[in-house]
Amino acid sequence: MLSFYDLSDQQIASLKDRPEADYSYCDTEWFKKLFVRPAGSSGYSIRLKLPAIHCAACVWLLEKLPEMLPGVSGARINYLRKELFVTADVSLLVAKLCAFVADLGYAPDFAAATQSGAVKDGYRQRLMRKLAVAAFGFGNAMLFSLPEYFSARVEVEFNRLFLGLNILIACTVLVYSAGDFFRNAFIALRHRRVVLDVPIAVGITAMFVRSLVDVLAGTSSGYFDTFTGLIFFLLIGRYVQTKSFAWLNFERDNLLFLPLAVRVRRDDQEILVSAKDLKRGQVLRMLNAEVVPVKSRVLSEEGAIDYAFITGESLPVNIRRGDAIQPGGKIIGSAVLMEVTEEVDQARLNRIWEGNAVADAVVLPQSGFAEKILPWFTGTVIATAFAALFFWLPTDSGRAWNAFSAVLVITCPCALAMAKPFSFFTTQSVLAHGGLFLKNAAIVEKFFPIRSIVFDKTGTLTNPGAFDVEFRPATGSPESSVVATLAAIANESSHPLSRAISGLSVAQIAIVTHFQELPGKGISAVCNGTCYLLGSAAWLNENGIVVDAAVGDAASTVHASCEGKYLGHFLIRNKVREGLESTLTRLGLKYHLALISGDSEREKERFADIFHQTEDMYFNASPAKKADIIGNLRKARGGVMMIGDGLNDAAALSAADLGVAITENHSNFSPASDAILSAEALQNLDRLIAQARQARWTAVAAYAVSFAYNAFGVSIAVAGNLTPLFCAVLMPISSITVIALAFSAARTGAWLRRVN
Amino acid sequence: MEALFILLIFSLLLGLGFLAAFFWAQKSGQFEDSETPALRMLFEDRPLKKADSNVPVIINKTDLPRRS
Repeated sequence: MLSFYDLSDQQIASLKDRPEADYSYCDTEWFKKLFVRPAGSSGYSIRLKLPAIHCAACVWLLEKLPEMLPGVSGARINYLRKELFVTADVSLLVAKLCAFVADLGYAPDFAAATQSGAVKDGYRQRLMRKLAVAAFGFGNAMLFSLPEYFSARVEVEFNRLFLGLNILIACTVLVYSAGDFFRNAFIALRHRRVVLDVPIAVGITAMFVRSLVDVLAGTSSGYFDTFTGLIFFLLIGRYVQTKSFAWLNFERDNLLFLPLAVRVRRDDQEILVSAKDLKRGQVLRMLNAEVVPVKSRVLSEEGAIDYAFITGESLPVNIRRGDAIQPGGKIIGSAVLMEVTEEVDQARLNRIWEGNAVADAVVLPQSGFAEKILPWFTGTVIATAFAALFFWLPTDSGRAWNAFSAVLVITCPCALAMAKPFSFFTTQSVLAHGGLFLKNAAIVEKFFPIRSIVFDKTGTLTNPGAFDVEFRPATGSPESSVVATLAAIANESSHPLSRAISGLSVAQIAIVTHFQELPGKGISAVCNGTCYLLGSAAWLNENGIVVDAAVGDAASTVHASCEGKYLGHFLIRNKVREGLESTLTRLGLKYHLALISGDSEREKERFADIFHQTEDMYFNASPAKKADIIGNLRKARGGVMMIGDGLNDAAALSAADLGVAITENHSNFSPASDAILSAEALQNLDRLIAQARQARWTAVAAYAVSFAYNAFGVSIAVAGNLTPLFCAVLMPISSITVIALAFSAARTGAWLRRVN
Repeated sequence: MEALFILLIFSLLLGLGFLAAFFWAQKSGQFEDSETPALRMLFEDRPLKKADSNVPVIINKTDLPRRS
């Protein structure tokens, strides 16, 4: 409990650096339609996504909301989703509620709320219910079939009852749980594709029809136990494919930063209008830090706009009357009036606000490296069945139909259907332990063709919060007392470069007086009776000190002087992440490495040393150019993995075969990507990639095992000797073997590589 | 052996009962959040000062509307 209040992350939402937000749009009709639901006789409920939730104390505080704000009747947190569910009386305005929650330090993020995978959730829940019914059916059908397994002499009335119950259960499972397999098989066949559900549907049908025929003819008690078990295992396979990480957002889009509502001028008044309903010709007033939602033309005399979201360019652009503005630009400084020139792309906005994700993507099995064999598999199975049929038909027609259906029953690809999902699922779990979170299990497949790895520099290879500071004296060796004094002076200032320098001081007490800070120039102070200056070369020159200005980049060099005498300069650079060099050496043995940076070339030598190469180091790259370079690399060398951290890498991340976003803190922004990598896991990157690639061989081995079981079953089926008991034993054993293989392979691999 | 019929009915009813319990638990959202109840347990219980309103206080998740 002593570490209860330790914060999991360094960065904490601070109220100071956030602009005052206006939530008055929360009381408009269109907003209520999207987010607010009626509850009780005179109340409403709203679900707020609060990305700032990070510890148990947040839960404690926010669930006290009914005591803090009159009108709120209930507050519930879902910690993993970072969601707050509030019920309140209509007398409390939604805007007031949102503003209060934001005041506590938890600004609601409506864009993320609408987007948080509701479609996928519904699919998972339906799957869970189907799974429960199949499990119930499996257990009971097994129970009712037990007497049949152990003795042939079951009293007739019991036998009838058992069979009747089995048929009832099997019908329920078929209708309730197995419907999706038929639907998917049908859709795939209509598109002339063979997916795994095609042989599954064939096998299920064969098993059900054969069992019914057997029971009605009185030859055996049918395969109902195997049938229900099969569907149970198949659904488990489907279920593990849906695993994702609820607290991570992989779908971040530039458009998510667009405001929900904007101020529109109408008859000398300002009203809030949904960004969706903006019409051409309307006049908007955008305030500081608001993001422009539509293409428009400036009406104000001048202003400034920051396109960092779109281009990665961090310096604001000045705009004048008549200039065109692109959506996604952020207004800096004074408010700007603008006229809408083009209406919002409705389809794109709908996709964000209403979360109309394509449901098919989660339902249909994706095609990948293993699915190529499926048409062959299905063809072979059907050919074998017909071969058996025609082989027996002239001599023994009963045995012919028996063999035909038995082949279809025994080859129903249960173990096969488990092979890839479980190999990928176990890999996904192991990687998450190691700090690499995949968007879904299918992403594992994207690791297989990787030939080269491209890194962004700032924020990816370098640690944004840590600096390497080096003091280079003008003459001779540095005196530690001089450095300590300068560090103590820098300690008085809050400028990032000063903070970096002050980190050098070793808790020495120096009395600093006459401290003066000139923004953009430097600081001057008196310490132990001598006057020190710390600052830019130009500023020291102004003060009559001869400075060696050619030593480094102006943005990262701080010069120092004492009583008019030049002391030397501090060279400040972002620290590279811990263990980076050895990781890159290990990665370099297997993959081609490249560096793409939007920065200038001044650190080229430093990174050439770390990368042990000078080719494929790109500097001054714009976001579009980054994507171009990735495209060229893909053509030249095959699969590319891109690792980046900011929105200016977003284009490159989506251009690469596998885009990985690196982040210090999971609730922070990270661009749209296939996977999210914890910063501290970067040093294990080579092991994580090796672990992911291992999944391919695990899947292949699992396929081999299931084929072996199938071949063994078929050899008995073609002879027409298949019995329900044999089937009921073989099917679960083969599936469990495959699952055990996938788990043990992933765990052993992780243990050998020390991934977790 | 006739006792078997009764036992059979009991076993089926028991199974169906568990199935129904699972459906109910899922519908009431018990599987949606596996983390927060574990945290909530750590807080000291204090009688909730009921806000003056006629909206029911949410204790049970059944009261929550479904995600659409």
